[in-house]
Amino acid sequence: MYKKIYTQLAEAVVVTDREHRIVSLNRKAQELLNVNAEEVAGKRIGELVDAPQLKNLLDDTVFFGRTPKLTYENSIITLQRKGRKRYHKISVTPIFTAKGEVESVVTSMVDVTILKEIEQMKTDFFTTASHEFRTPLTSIIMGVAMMKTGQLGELTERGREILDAIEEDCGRLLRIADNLLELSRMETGSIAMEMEESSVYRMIKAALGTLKLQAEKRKIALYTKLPPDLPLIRSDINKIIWVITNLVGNALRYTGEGGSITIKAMRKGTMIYFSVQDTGKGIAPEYHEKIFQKFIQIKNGDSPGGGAGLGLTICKEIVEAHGGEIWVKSELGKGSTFTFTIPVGHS
Amino acid sequence: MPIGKKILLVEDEKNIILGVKTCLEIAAFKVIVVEDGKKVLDTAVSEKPDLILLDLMLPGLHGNEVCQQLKAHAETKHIPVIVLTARTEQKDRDEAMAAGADSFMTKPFRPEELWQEIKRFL
Repeated sequence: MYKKIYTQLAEAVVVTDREHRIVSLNRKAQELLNVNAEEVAGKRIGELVDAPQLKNLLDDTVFFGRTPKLTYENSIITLQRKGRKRYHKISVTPIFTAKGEVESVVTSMVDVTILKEIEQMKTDFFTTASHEFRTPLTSIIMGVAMMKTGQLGELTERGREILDAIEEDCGRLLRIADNLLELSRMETGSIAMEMEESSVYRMIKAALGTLKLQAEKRKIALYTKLPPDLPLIRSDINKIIWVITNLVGNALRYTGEGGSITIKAMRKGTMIYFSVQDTGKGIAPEYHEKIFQKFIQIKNGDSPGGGAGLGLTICKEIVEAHGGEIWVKSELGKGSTFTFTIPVGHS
Repeated sequence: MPIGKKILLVEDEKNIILGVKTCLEIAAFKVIVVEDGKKVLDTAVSEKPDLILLDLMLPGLHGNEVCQQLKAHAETKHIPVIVLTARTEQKDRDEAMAAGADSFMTKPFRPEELWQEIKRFL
């Protein structure tokens, strides 16, 4: 019975020993790799599947005796089939002897080419939509800015107020268009991370530089608490600056006049913990997980709005692409603390 | 800002033409508009503008090809070309610069940003 199931499975399954030599492979796997089972028995899987990340995963599985943590990037392998590139999602599971040692590893592969194609279409759509927004926004922004100078005729006070509102909403539309584009690039992994050894002090300074004026205007105090001995971290500095800017920007939006925002960074083990703490109105517990999902905005009467609910989703994508995590602790009426971690780099 | 300098605006979107032309005229520039990519070189030769603002997605001929033509022609190669485009990818910027553009601005921009950029060349 199990043999039949194994043979008939829609997924391609390959069983390898501790040295990654092929022990068995089901019908779908033979079809996928264009081989027959007898021919390849005892050969190393690397000879059939040209994907270095599969070898790494198998090494880790044998060495650590457990299924390795798979990220989106390292779980997708590409195989050439009939001259066409096909994408496969792999999963790797160890099989143990009675003594608890890894005896073999089961690798299964599912064809996800169609999903990759849909993802690509989505990215193309967002790219086009984002660009198409920019052209009409140009004439609106130019027009409004020139009217505000008074050189196209005098303005009433109400007229000026309306132009300010249009200008603000143009900025909002542009941010939405940019965020959609950024998010879809991140999701498809088409953004290359430019990793370098970077200074935590420098990134926090850069992020706050653009927000200081806004905080002063709103009479909100910005504090930083940074120990003097933070190591360099291996990261894409511009993306981390983006995350900090976004978190502090949110804190500014939800903190009332006279409040404060504190930015901290500290090292714990192999991680740097960044946190942004505000004295704003706090977030209800049911939103603590949800706010990192796409298009989720906390709806309540006095919410300032101003976004599309994409900022925190992008923050999460960026942090996770660095191998870190992000979360929020908050109590209604007492403010919120957003924390994210980034591994300390190897110098 | 040098008064009376002549700028050739190559753009096919009528609302952008209105906005950019007005913005330049406020700053006392003379503005000539061409909407078709194929007509840019001839106009540049005959009008001898001091600077060219060039959109990329043009009817007739792509902005990068227009730029190559301008930079290959003895009478126009010295004229600074600022590319104005809604494209945001680094690849687009690299292609425009490779085609000979002197500068690259991403739409949307504000009037003062445009003036500032033009000032670098005039």
